[in-house]
Amino acid sequence: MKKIFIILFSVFLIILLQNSVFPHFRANGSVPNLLLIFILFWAVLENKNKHYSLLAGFFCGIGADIFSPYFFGVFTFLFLAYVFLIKRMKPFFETERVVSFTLFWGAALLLYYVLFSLLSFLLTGARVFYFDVFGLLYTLAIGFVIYFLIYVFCKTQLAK
Amino acid sequence: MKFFEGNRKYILIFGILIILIIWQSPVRSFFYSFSRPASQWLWQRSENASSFFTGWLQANRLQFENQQIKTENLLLLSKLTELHRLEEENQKLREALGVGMAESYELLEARIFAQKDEDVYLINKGKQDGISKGMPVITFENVLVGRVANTYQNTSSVQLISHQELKFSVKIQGEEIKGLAQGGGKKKLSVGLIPKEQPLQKGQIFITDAPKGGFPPGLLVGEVENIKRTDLDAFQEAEILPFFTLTDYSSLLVIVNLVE
Repeated sequence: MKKIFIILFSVFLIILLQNSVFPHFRANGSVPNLLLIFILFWAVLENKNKHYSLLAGFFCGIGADIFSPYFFGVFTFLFLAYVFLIKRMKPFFETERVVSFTLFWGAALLLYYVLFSLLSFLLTGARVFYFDVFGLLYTLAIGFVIYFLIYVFCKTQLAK
Repeated sequence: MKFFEGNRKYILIFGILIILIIWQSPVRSFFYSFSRPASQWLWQRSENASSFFTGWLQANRLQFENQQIKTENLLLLSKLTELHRLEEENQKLREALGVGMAESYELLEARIFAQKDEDVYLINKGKQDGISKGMPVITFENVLVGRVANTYQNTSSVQLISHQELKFSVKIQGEEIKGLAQGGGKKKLSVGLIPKEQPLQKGQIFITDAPKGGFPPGLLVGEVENIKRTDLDAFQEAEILPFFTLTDYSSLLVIVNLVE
């Protein structure tokens, strides 16, 4: 129960940062996707047998849906599917090594853009590949900062 | 029955999602109201921090821009003097003809507190303040920003004029060159349907022109940044630099009572 509240509170804070702070710190018009970073870290760092990352994906999805112009539930479904796939993908990478983590991180972000484009095509019929290079690089950079912070301070805590 | 017991968590999540889908508007409204104080506080603080860093990183460019603005300011001052003279003349003529002053619109001040999408922002005024869908939103400098897209209890979402759903009539200031402005997303705006024979130049200023779009005429829109002409098209297209991107549009005015 404690973990659920931590996730809920974290998602709330991330939504605030995403929508009220980062619009002022754009890199070439792009902002990092903090919700994505959050669920990726949950999926990467939690034990194989735990499923809190799915819950994190669910809450992040709801958060994204609240601010999205699409129909409610689109991002919830997208993030849940995304976490599910990331958890399947994780064993192929040794995420504790920096090089392997970089590859995993890049692949995971690309997967998000593929899933989002696919869903967008199914919903609106738009044949566009939503790929934002600067957004990806920015997300990657923020991800690295958090990666080092987590590995220094609380990796063992999260894996419990 | 066994199925329900085994999949209780998934059924619960599915149930929550269904409830959220059914009540999506009240859910959004509640979340915006609940998060508004914190969002507003963060928005203002990060805006200040961003201005500080921008100033620090772009000191040279700002110095150059400052010099340009000073020159521009002098030019505008001379135009202002001319305008005052015309205003006095206009007033005298109105008095002589017995015509009253044109009615202005009723304005309501609002502040942005969060960004919803690339071209959609949330403001801190909603239904209870008398805001309704479609109302035009401008800056204090009479620059058109967008229109109210959705209203909630005490918040509203504003679509910028660069939003892809927005189309409205515009014309070049002081001339009869008319066109149709259309948002291109990501703060981009273009004006199409301008007859090719009309002389269009970079730096010309577009203002709103009734009737399409629901905006009052005479609001500043942006300046021509680039002109696209092809030999086959009957019309030319202009890429516009929207003026709202040059101003501080955190504080806005909503036109609540547009007098036609």
